Amino acid sequence: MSYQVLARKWRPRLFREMVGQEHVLQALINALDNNRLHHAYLFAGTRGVGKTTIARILAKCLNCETGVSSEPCGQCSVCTEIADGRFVDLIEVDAASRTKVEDTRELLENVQYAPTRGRYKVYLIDEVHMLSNSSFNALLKTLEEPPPHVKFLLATTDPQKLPVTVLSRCLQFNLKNMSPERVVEHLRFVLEKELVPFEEQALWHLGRAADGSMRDAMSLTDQAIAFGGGKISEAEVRAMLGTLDSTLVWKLVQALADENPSALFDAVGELSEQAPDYGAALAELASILHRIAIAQVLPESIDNALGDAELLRHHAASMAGENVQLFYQMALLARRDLPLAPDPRGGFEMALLRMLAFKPQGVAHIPTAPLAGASAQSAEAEASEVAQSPVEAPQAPVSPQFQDTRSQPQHSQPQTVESPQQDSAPPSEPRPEPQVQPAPPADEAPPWDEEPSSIPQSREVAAEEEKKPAAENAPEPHSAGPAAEAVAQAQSESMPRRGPVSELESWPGSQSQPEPPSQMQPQPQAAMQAEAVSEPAPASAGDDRAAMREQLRQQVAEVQSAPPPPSADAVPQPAPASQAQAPVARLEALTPGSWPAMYPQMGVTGILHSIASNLELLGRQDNILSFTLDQTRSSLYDDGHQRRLADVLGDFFGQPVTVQIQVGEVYGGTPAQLVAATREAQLLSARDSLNKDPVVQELQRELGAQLMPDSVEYLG
Amino acid sequence: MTAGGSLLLSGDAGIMADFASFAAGQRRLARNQLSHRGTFMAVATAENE
Repeated sequence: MSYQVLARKWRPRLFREMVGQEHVLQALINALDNNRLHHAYLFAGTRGVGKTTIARILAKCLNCETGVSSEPCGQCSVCTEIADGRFVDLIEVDAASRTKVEDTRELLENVQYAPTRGRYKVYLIDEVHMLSNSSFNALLKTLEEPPPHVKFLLATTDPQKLPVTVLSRCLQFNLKNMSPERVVEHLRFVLEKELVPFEEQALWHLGRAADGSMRDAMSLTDQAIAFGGGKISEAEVRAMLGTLDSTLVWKLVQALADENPSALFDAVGELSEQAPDYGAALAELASILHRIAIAQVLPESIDNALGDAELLRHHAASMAGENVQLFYQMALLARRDLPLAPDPRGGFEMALLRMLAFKPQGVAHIPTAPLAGASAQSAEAEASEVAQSPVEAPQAPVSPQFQDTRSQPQHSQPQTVESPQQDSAPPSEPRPEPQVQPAPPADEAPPWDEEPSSIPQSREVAAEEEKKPAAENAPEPHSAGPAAEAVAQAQSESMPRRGPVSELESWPGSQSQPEPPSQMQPQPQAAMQAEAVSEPAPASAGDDRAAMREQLRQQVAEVQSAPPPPSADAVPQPAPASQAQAPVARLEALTPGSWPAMYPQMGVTGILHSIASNLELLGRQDNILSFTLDQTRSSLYDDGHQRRLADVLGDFFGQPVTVQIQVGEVYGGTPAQLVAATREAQLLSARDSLNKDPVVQELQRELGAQLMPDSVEYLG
Repeated sequence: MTAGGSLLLSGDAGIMADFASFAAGQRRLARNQLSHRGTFMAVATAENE
């Protein structure tokens, strides 16, 4: 008889011979024993985990002459025929080679016929994911309601490719990958039965190389037996698999733990003689570090699977946990960066040197108190303690460099921050050893420390700035530097106030420009500033922005040296209500008849304008003005308008006035009514003018044109 | 006084040509627009000075 490979020879014939997959077996055994069998099963899992094997055993269980049970006899003709692959009622279909719908239809044509010998017709469709869509669709109906004598067993490595309509008709079992322990255990059993001598560690190499697949493990074992001439040794298996000698990697770990660069490079040299894959060497190093880390937290988990339990225990006890973690992380990153290295060995050596160079020298000196509260003396004392600590004393020739590298980040960062204070120190004073810089006292904080801290506190700043005179808000000398400009630019969105103020104050033209911001049209820059001032704030800024804009207006007004001129021409462009102006009219001139014509000169804007323009002056008694508000336009009116209008009128006439407003019917004496009447008269006049226009008349006469009344407008 | 307004013209394609030639000689009909939506229609925007 020809040689049968281990994977086939030792294919399980009973459920209890199966290795792993207990979660599947339990469900199948219970279903068989309780006679609750589904008509379609789907076994999914990676290669070599037992999908086809389980399906064949299930076929035996269903058709065994001793009856349906989870323990087929294995002796009857049915069991032997199934084991030999010649049972007539087990139709094993390789779906990968019979993907066409015609093949599936041919298969299904025979479904209706009763089994020839057995109890059930079992259709074992292997690699079912390779079927075409049409084949799946042809299968659907039968798969849902097959005849009672038919069972479908589907096996696939890729259940994602199956239509959900197929998945929903099957009981799906996901088979797990084999752990190396299970693989080694099974290999040991098989090799003992096969009388093949082996070394335990060789089996572990094989178990890890199998990567979860028992068939791969058996195939590799076959290969190793052939390679070793009937025996399996670790060295030969390692040579066959191309894996590294773990003793060399352990030497690397030992050199790293001892911080011994010469031993490290000796180990690297020894390793390089085997022309290894340096990526694999880093992976092996990371794997060992991983096991050391586990051994540190769970000492009971140490096993002698690879014969290195003693080494594991020793290094778990001697190496600091943070070192192991750091080395592991560096090994991982070095694997990632290895393709970028000029040559693999160089990248490997640099990774190992990095582990030495950046090794944390203990955690006892990491400051636990907040640095800001520490005094300079205590910080210096702590720094000198760090420098003089015997624990930190260099043990290897390169250790002084480690010392420098380690201490560099501790003081370089504060030095740049504290540079202004260093400028004030005597230049001849020697700088102390690396130290933690004390935080400056609050009253000596550098000026730019105040700047960023004020950014998120715009509300407080705005309130504070209102109390200060405008001169105090002039830019400080330090803020003229690029850093301050960058800060100002960064906060321009959240603080629009400071940028425009500074520019306005530093702009020479602003000193001689008496106009309010809205009247700075001749100066483009001023116009931009005025736009910035009058730009509506985003809703999120809320009252802060409004307060800032108002304050800005005040500051602009304050830096203007010349008094504002009489705004006699201010009719088309109303000035802000709060602007102090010289009186342009006498209160005595205000009468019910002159009120609508005089009102536009007052420059009222906003909601107050919509209220005041609908006021009709009833009369004046001394400085008491009585108005009637158009009752159809009074929905926005409140008492505040009365007070604000009194302020505006007081400014306009140059003397305090009292305003009384009552809501009622008006009779054409409001400014708004005057404007509307004027507009209507203009429109009538425009329409009349167009109708009399000779061109329009010619268009109407010659071409039948019609003047559209709604389109007529008065243009001036 | 300067007034502006639109004149609606509608008819067949011939009216468009007539209007175009008419408008070409009229400085005050500089702002005009021609459109046809189903039937031909022209809107002349005239300004009267």
